[in-house]
Amino acid sequence: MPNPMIFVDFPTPDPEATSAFYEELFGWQVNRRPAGEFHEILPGVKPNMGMHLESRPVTGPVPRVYVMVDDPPAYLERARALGAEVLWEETYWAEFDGRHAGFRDPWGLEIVLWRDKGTYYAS
Amino acid sequence: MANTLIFVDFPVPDPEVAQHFYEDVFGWTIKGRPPGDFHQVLPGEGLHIGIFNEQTQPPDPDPKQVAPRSPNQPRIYVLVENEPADYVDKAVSLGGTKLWGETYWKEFGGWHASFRDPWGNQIVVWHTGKPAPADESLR
Repeated sequence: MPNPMIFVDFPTPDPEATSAFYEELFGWQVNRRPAGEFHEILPGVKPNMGMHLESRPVTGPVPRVYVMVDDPPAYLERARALGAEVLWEETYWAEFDGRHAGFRDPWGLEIVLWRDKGTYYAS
Repeated sequence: MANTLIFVDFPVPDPEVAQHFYEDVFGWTIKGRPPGDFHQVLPGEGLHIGIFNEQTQPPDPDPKQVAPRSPNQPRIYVLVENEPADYVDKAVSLGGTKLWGETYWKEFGGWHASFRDPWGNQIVVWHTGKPAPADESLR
């Protein structure tokens, strides 16, 4: 049995504000189930994601969510405009042959923007 | 296929030690790329996962100062074939912490249990292989 990862959710003290951030940044569909408590994120291709109400802020090293995008610098700038902190500008990772950039959202979650080479779903 | 989730990785102080923990709990194949720095998890189905060294922080080219870690973390859900409690018990026997026992989430139609690994990462074990509880109070 492979025991696959099927879902990720992240804590936020404000699910509505966090939903608005990701709806605006990535165009994700967010379902309130129920609103303000647990929000389901539907990026269009599974795995889906979620967010849950948690009053305590996230600090320290955290699991990172990788999102494939067509233009990491553009999304990084858009995230910055929405209040995110830039962690690193786009760079290259030889071991995995990919270009990427990173940011921390206003609630402590870290996102890695992974450049789409057009081969991910073909492989 | 725009803006989709393709990968999740989580921080630990020693990827070699964490590799043994997750091999034992879930039977995953895990490769060091390179060992001690970034370990790639190949569950055999679905997305790959990563385990990264929280000091070197790959692929961040400029590792950041490490702040004390909060107990609340993003949660990684793993679909399992057997009883969720079995995996939590296994994790606890290897140094993890039980967060909750098996329960049912009516909104999403699944059984689940959760543990925190010895380094602070939270795993939710998810199971859909048996019917919803007959007792409405448990749903």
